Amino acid sequence: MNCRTFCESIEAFLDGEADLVVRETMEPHAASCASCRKQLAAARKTRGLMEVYAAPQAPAGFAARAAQAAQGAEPISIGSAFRWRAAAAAVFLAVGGGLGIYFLMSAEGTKDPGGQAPVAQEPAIKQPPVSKEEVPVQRESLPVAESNSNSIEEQEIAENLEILENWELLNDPDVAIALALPDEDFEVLMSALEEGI
Amino acid sequence: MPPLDMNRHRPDPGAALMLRFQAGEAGAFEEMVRAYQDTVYAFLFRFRGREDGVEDLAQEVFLRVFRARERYRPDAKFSTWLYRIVCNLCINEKRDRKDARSLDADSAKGEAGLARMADEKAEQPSRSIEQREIAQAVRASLEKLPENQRAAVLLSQYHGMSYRDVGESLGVSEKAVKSMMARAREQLKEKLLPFLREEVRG
Repeated sequence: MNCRTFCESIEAFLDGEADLVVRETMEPHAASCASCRKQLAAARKTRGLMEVYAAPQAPAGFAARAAQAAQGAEPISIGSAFRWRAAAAAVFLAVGGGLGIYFLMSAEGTKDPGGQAPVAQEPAIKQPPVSKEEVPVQRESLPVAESNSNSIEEQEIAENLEILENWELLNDPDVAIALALPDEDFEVLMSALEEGI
Repeated sequence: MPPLDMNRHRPDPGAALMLRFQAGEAGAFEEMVRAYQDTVYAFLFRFRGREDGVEDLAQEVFLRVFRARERYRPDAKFSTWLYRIVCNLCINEKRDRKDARSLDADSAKGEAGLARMADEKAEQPSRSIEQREIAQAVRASLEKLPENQRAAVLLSQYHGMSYRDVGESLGVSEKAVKSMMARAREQLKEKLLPFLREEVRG
């Protein structure tokens, strides 16, 4: 081992992440090289100094407050938030992709082509009540359900989901991508789609 | 689909708690928060460099855990999944705060420095002056690091994560973590040089 390799390997070695060859040659090299020995000692000392920087513990009652805040900010029952997102994302993409034209044309009647594709007579999605942190832009564009009953919301979501499933929109790769996004990215996507509609 | 056997996940207590939470067990979420609140709080405190606002941020972390519960799969370590949320929040929050403060950053700098030293003394009055100075220097050194390097060092140094787990938490490769750690540690060593004894100075 040369000095350059030694210095490059110090941190991984001290973190236990160096490969076997490095691990076995570090100490022998340090024993024979004063400069490298000082580098290793400095790296070890630095880690020791960093341990002096202590952190406080979470304040008393934090867990109860956090649990209460989380449950208070989540009016939709477990499971329905995901279905709501699936329905909302699919509707936006459907409108953007031209399926909105079909809904508009179909809205004049209750045509049922052999039971294959049930048709909505009014806007497909009624937005369930959501917390402020969830996609706030959508509230301005979609009618808000007057009732806060979870059973009615879930029924509506289930109905909309059935429509979307029949149209195989849930298999749309764009929908899959949208559903897989982290919260903040999903909000950005929704805002962008909202502006585009 | 057969029900998940939660006993398989005993070695990962966080995963077991999440599964109980997903199954709808009352009190499981609060129990999970209690188990991880200190480690999350510590990370947020060191990442931000001060205690102000940490509790709100920690609550936001667990709120996101609550909301993302259906996305958690027990094939992933709970801690890396949790810290993925923590790091995303920290980096985005830091970015937002930087934008908000950019207009009067210069005038606030001096006041912020004094406030931090006062915080440090108030938090740990029993510590020696030297220890407080070291803690202050470490805090200042960490703040100078780019956010991803800072997060990597915190996860490795204070939370005992392997490079692989750090990579999963930050969404980068293990090789990238190794590189980040080397650069970050070198910078920290240089900043803390005044505290290294003569015999270890290179």
